[in-house]
Amino acid sequence: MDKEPLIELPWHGQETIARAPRLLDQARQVKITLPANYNHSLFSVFHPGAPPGHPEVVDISGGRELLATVASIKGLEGIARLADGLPAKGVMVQVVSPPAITMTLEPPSAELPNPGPSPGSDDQA
Amino acid sequence: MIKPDMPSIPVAPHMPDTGDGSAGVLKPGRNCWRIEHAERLAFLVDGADFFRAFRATARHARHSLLIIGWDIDSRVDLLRRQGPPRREKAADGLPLALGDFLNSLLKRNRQLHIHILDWDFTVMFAPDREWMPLYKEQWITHPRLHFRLDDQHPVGGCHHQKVIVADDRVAFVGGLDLTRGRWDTAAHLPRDPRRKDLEGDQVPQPYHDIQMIVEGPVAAAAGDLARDRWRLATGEILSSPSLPDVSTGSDPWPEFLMPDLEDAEVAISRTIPLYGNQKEVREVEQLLIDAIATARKAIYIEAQYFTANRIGEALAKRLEEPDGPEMVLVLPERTDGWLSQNTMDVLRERLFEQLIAADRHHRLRLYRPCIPGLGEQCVNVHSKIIVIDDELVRVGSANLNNRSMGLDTECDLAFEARGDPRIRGAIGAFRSRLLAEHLGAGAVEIEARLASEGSLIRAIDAINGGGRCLLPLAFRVTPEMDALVPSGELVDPDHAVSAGQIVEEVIPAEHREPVRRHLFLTFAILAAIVALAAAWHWSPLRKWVDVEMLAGMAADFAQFHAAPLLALAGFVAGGLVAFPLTVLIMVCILLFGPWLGFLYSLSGALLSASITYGIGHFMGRDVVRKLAGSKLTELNRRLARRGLITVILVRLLPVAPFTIVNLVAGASRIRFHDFVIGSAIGLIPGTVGISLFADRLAAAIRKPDILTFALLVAVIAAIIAASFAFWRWEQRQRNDRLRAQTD
Repeated sequence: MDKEPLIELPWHGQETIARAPRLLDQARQVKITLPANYNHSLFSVFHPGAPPGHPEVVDISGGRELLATVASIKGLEGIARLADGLPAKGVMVQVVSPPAITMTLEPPSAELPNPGPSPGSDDQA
Repeated sequence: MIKPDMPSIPVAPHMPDTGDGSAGVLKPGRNCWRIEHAERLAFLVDGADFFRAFRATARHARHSLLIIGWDIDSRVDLLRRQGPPRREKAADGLPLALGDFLNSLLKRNRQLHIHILDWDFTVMFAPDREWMPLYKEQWITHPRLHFRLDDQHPVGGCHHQKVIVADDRVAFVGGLDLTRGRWDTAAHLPRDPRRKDLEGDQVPQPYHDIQMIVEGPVAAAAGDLARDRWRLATGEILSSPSLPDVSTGSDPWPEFLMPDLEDAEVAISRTIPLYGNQKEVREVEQLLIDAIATARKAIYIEAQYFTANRIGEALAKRLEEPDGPEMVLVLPERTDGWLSQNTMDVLRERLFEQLIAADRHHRLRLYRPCIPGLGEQCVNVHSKIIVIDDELVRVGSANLNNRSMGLDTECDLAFEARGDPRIRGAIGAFRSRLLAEHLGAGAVEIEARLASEGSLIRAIDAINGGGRCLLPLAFRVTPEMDALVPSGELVDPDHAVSAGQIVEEVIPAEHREPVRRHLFLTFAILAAIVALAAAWHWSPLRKWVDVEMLAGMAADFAQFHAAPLLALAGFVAGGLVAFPLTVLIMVCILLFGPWLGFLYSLSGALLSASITYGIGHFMGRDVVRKLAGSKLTELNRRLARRGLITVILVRLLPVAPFTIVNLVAGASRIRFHDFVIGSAIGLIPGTVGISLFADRLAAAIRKPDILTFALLVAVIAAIIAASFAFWRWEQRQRNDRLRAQTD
């Protein structure tokens, strides 16, 4: 069965945390929209050294570890459990402004396009 | 004028048009900085309510009161009543005047710290900036009152945010500063005697402006913003105040104020100019563009200025749509001040023409408030608000001009309904309240008309009549006026304008004088000063020295070959140690007589001024500020005008000691030749007066008869009369400027 391209979830705390990993089975991407007042907190944890008065735009991608950072924010501690519910590998996480977390299950390696020779590979040796 | 080649700002590309507004306009990181919860909020319409509410909140501040603004005046009365006599204190026993009031709060509460950040326009390029006297001693007497000046702006920009935060619990944000000329009631009565500040004349022009008060986490966020600005301006890091226990009964929300809304999410949007390491923030502009794009039925705007190109472009685009929103703009009949009327009003009418051309479906109305009995005066609409349908409202410091979009610092608050009928009701009621004020009607009547007519314009038309009303704005810019005004990029830039750009804009390349000519002029002035001193030493003019007028050592000294040079050195040394110039001039006159003494005095004063100017230039502003102390602010304001005339006036007026004027001028960016020429002209009257006085005094001592004493008395009387006449003239000029003051 083809997966949905995107399922969007508003943030409802524990309910959202419980639903999101399961929804990843049904959609390529699951996007959790956080309340707008978390943008500042997200910016603060991802850009701790930003000078005062900086535009607070968050746009950061990575793996599951980003969720641990998000979970350090007061009120979003439950996100740590969300991370636990995700596969250890093959999940891409994006945190953006306005505050939202998008989780993408990377397609199986067979579906990946040929990336070509990578640095340090035998072809380059 | 809307420029077709202007880089476009994206208009809410991710904003689905759901039709019910639930998608929302406010997006942190895009068009606002933060969205935080407000437990209560209210609109404070006009200065009287704002001053009163501020005073009530400040009384309950326990730990922290942060005030950042474009201007602040310690002498302004926060509460006023009809009829004399003016009271010193209110019924609560606290002073009425702002400075005294704040100092009394500090005395009665040892936990309280008050931080005030005021725009320092010394480094600004502000050729027609209105200036007014401030006696900031009120700000430096108490150790827990921390007064700082904010000069961290690009050339031509200003600190325009108006934010007050008490204990991170209650905040005020809007268009009003705690300064003169702001107090007025919603009645905007003609000749209201309470609309008077200090000893000045009653301010004839009613003043309309709006502030928001918010309580809760959004106030703490405003506190963060104020502390960020403090850090940027001063380098000092302020910590957040420990929030008082709300259960102990100290409620900083004004007890008399009913909230217009409870439990709402409020956005803070900013403009921060590109400056140094500071990145540019244009959240206000983006918010306005996004909000205009979502309007369905009506856009209601009150604005002091209306010259913002991109905002005009966004409005014009909506006017072109066959089923776009109605637009009602309430603006002042004319802006304040001659320069503004001949520049900003010209740009405003250019933008009007763009909108009128786009208004193919007749949905645009441009109004000005009219109040019977005002005569030639008009209501000074100073408010900066926009209401989009019943969905979104924004109140703040940002004008609808280009500089508020990218050159000045701004702070606005906004909230939106997102389908919540409770918030829709509050937004609609606010707009009705404003229309009720302008139309002399009741808010209920406005609401009823809006409901029955189904159109904002038709509702206004139905109520508009005699008495207070909204009149169509008359176009008053002639083609001749228009031709004199350069493009908006110079008059109303949205980013810092370099001197080179100004020259490029104003003076065609073929008319420009080469730089070397300016350099030559500078060196020529310096050389002239030295040559003047030398001429009096080596030329036959020396013979004019009347040695009979000198006595003892003075006579011997005057005959000494190096005496003129020593006199000049004396002036230089006196300048370095801030010795009073008046005393030096008197000694010089007594030593060398009236003619030579006058010339040596003037030469010496100019040489001393030039050297201390150079020292000030070398030391820089911060060091000079520490040396100059409390005199600096007044001096700054006067010198900020920057021209030759300003330097002359500063020399004529006893604003600050001679040396301090020189140091501050050097630390500022006043051109050297303006400084020297202005100083020479400005020092002449005083030096002549002192010369005459000293000469006649010496004569009276030497020959004490009736005639010499009569001449001495006549000279003294003439000096007093001339000083008084000049003082009166300067006061009138100052009052005129105060009335015309605008930000």
